[in-house]
Amino acid sequence: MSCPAPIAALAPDLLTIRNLRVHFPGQTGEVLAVDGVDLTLRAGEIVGLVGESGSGKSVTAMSILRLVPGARSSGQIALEGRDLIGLGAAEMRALRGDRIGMVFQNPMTSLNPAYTIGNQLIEAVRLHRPLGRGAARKLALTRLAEVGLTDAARVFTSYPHELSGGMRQRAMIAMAMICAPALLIADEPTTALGVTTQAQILHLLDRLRREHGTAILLITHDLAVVAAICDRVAVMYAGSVVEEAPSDDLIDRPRHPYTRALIEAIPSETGDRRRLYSIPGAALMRPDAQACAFAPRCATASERCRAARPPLITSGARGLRCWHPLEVSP
Amino acid sequence: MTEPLLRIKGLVKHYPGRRRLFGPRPAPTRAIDGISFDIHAGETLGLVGESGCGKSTTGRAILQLVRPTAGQVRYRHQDLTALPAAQMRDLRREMQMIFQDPYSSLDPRMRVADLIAEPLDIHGIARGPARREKVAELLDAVGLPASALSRYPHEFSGGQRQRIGIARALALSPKFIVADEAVSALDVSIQAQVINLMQDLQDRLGLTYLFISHNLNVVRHISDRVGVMYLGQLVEIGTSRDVFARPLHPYTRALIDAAPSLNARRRERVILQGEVPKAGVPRGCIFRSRCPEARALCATDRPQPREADGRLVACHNIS
Amino acid sequence: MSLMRLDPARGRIAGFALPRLPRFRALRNWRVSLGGAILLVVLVSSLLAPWISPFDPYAQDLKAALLPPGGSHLLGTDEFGRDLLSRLIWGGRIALLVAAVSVVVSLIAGLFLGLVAGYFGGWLDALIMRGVDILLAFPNFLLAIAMVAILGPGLANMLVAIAIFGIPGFVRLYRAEVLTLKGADYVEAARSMGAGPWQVIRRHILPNSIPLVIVLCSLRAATAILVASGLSFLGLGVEPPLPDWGAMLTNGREYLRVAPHLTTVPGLAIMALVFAFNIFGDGLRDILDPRRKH
Repeated sequence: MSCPAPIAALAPDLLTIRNLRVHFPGQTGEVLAVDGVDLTLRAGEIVGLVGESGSGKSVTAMSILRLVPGARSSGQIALEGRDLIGLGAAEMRALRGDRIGMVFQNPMTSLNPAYTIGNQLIEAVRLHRPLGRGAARKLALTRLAEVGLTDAARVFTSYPHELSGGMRQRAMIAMAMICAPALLIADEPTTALGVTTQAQILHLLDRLRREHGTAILLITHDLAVVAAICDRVAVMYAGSVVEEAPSDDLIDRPRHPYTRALIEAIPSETGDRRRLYSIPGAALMRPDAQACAFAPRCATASERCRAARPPLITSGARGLRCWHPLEVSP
Repeated sequence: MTEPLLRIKGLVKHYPGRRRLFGPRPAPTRAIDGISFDIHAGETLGLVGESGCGKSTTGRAILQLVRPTAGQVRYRHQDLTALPAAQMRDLRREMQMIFQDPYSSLDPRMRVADLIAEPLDIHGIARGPARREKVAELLDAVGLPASALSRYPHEFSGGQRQRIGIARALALSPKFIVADEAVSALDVSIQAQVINLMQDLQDRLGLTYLFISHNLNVVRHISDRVGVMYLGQLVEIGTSRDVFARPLHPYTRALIDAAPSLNARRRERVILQGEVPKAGVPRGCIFRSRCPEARALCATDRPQPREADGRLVACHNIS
Repeated sequence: MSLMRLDPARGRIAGFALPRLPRFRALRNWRVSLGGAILLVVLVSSLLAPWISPFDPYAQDLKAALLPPGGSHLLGTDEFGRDLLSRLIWGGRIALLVAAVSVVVSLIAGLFLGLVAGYFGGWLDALIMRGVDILLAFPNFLLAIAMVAILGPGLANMLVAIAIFGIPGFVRLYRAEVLTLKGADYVEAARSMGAGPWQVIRRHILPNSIPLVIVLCSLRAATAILVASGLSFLGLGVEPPLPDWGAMLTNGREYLRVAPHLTTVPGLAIMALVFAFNIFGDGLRDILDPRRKH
């Protein structure tokens, strides 16, 4: 897993999100779940979308698929140059599962317990490809073998509950990859798994993007997962991206106070019993739109932070939304 | 060394298989399959392992929330497993539990004041002003504002709820606390707050923790000693520093290697193949099906925990 | 903090927190207000029956038989010239009595048996549930008929039959709820604090099952009224000349062509009351369940 950057750097933009905003109508006024997200994915790249619960990372991901019930989205989402927000429902359905694959956190609830894995894979193929059952079956078996299920034929005839958690997640990935999508969205794909299985699944995702050139948007709360396989990371806080950078840069030289706090809050591997760095308070559901959303919890917040929301400023490979960025020691 | 606070000897918990109308009775599920260890007063013993390894059942079996199938839990010269239910209920004042899910472990219909006072009410300890005073004191100890008292759990964030759970666990001034994945459901920034709080409380009140978690970094940070479980058995136990710096058991090594970390990024790691099997084996080493170093001996003899490099390891290849 | 949402205040009754209905919020739920309004009309009119009914419900006046609605007899008269409105008002008493007795009996027996079976399990559970299964194997209505056939018709016997056969369904549903609640983390938490079984039941199981109990009671009331009407319709329930909606329906059947109001009026009354119980229970559950709050 060393040095994947060159592939991505030369590749064309696959997905561009510009100023995405997602509202939910509520009883006491609208809730702005996503408030200005900009993100670009290039072919074959793994981008991590990191944030704590309620930061809007999952809503952002589901907005790409246009699968957020009851929400109003504005802004621009373009996949391979096509605007997704203006797309008709039928055209959007044709894209889902074909050009965009999706892997969820819990494979047990996202696979239908009443059908065999094979049945579900064949259905997924035939939704998008004019293949006969025989050809679809062949493709399904190929994908199952590809995701490291050595006994593909047995898995094919198994029901979800007959498989272990790791095998189910592999089957789920095989299903998401069935049409070799250009983009795979993986929402906390390893959170429900044990440590050793998690390592296997991350390794698998890394291999798949190499073999198929699929771009992966990896949504996670765990910076360590990001460190393991992502090329770039976007950190979300209260609905917007506050920092974006190549993952090594971000972890070694965070410039946003929130990013640094996230890193420092992880217990270190030296394992001494020092106090952990902790951010006071909890994220607000509805931050003041006129201020930096992180200001109430930020140690370095000034009057300016409370008076005006900083814009996302991009320079080189990094983007930052902060009035008082941390100095980076060279 | 002084007498440990808790001495667990040969603890076993088997769940009987569901009897079928025809055919033989299925083999029992071996949730815990004979483990022994001590917990010393004032220490934090971490218990790590992947889901299904029996670490949560171990915590519950020590507290007698599930009755062990066999073995002893000695606490201050008494064997808890032999204690009648009524006496055990009294002893619970000294041993409490913090639960994983701060959403489901608080009764949604009770106010914070009543939630925190619940242990007091159950044991009929404090009433009226004394009860109010104790609750205010506990609330303060976990860093929640007094305005929280008349609110309901759903009005709080995950981290605040976990503080309520901790205050409740402290209400009876216990000596020993089992924390079962106490910070696993929390966001990283909140997790750090709760870990700090637990450490402060330990320093102030002289608590003893059994800290159960799948998160190696958290366990390494908080524990003095750590035990590693696999399929209902303790494969290695020693001081946190030893175990994490020089893991001896092949499973401990694989576990530490597989854990994602910020420091050792993109390293070429040895990824353990296969998954944790559904059930243990009656004979031989439980880890042998995935062990890169398994020998013929491992299939026939179960390795017993042996002293090695200042800790106990259950592996034939360690001597 | 904007994270926190305020919640209506609640009171404490009999040692455990019982949600106090916030007066105006409850009325904002259309089910509660509509169902409650119908129930209130029936309840008040039954209680005040001696004073508000325009005629004696038993007074016959053959000269004024089978009058259509309108005039001095607002809803018309039956074949004996008795005032339909007065009989309707008095009949409400019987309907509510049937509902109340059935609900109280099912509630007491059902809660107790459901709790014992669900919480303690073991052979007691097996015993109770096999008994319930046997009773449930027969259609509810058929059993009530059989029972009345043995005991003989009459209001009291009908009440017994309906009340007893309401128990099994209640036990089964309540036991399932107890099993779910028993598995809740906060129940394990209470046990880890040293709570005994009855403490757990009183503090956690009972309060948290209130939403279900309300729905069960409202369903029970509605079913009881339907079964009672059915029995009376078959002549197995209330005996003439007592004013009962089901019996009124039977009498009116013979005059369906000439005086359709004799069947329509009590029929609509039964329907309205059953409907009111159902939606009232649904609405109340929505309000009382804190988890259903947005």
